[in-house]
Amino acid sequence: MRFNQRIQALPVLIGLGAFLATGCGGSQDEHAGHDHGTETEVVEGMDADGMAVTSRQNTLTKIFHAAPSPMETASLIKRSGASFHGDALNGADRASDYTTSDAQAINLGIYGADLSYATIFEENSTSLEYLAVIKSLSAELGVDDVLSGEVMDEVEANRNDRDMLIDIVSDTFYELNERLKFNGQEDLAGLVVASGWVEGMYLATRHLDEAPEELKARIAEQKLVLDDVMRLCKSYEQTEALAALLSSMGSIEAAYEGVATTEGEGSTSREESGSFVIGGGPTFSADDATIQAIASAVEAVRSGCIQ
Amino acid sequence: MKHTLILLLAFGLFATTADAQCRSFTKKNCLSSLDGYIQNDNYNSAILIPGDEAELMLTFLAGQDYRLIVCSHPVLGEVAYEINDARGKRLFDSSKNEPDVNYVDFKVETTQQLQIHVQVPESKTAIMHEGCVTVLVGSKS
Repeated sequence: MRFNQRIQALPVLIGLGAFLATGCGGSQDEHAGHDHGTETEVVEGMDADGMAVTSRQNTLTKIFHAAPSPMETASLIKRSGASFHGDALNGADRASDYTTSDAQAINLGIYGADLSYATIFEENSTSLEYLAVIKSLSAELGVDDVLSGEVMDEVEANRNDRDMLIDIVSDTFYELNERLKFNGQEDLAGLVVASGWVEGMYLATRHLDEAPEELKARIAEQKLVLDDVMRLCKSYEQTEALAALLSSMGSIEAAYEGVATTEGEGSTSREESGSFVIGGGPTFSADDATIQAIASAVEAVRSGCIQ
Repeated sequence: MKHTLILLLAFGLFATTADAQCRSFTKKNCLSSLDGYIQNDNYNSAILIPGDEAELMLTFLAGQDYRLIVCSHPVLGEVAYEINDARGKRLFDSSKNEPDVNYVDFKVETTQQLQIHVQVPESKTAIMHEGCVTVLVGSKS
């Protein structure tokens, strides 16, 4: 009897497994324009190269979400002519204050942006200090293997090589994102991304009185990146902590409403190197009051993050 | 109750195994194409079948050089991709502009959101395969 029940359940089990298998990686939140009935047919096991026979009949549209990394934000701060302000970073000694997984994920994002900022500005001893903090918080979240002893040795051996450190930091945060998603902790991945963006913006908006116009323009353009971040994080399960953080970022979105956008006709050309150049597109402008409003909103959200 | 638990555990195991194989595929076959670029933090990979599509909307910053890679299992055939602007105007079509490689190098004159549209070709074979498709973005200053 018990055996028979298991046999009867098997096709349903395999069918649902097939359906779940299509959700590898990010969220699958839209199936635009396609019929997608219940899948009930057998899917054979996938081989080690990521391929399997399928009998899934209905096609789907998989929606991916992403946002520029804190390293990109740090790069544009540096390119704009701004200088490094170590006093703006969240103190590494505060890491042990974050005892819940939500607080640890939020401050993993904060420290990750601090690390990116220090690395881009070649403040290598600061980078090493923040990498150690990130290793510690990652361990608390159960994903410490992204910063293995081997990786830390590599960091130590290349402590004066900015490009190598940038590679290691980027790889680490890619791995971290992948591992959190793989472990079913997408909400924590969302907290890391959102708080990382907030910290990057906090660092970009320090000392605006001495900021070149170039930096103000780059801050205005972050309106689009904020849109990416919100869309990405809203695609994850809305836990209390993630919903609260996104809700608090509503004040930043409101401040960004003061940024004016002018649309331009898109075009494509090709350089001799073979690289394509996408021209046209929007341009952004914001007056000083709007930039200050953005900076104030960012500071308030960041203050809540590092509590 | 006991059977429900067994079912849930089995579903979890199946999804986890497929996901692990996709991660493995990405590491083994895709990430090395980003050498020289800073990889975006986001892991975007899915198991797709012939006829499936995927989309990614992402902001690209002026002043950066980008490499976009659409890395897919060979069993899926020539997976094509397009880059469209935020208003839907097609700016790049892999099948016309870069038919022989699975990546494109580009830069944007102004910071803008672009939509990457991926299309897995239809298959007329009796046995259809599913395979991993990964979208990677790298940048450098």
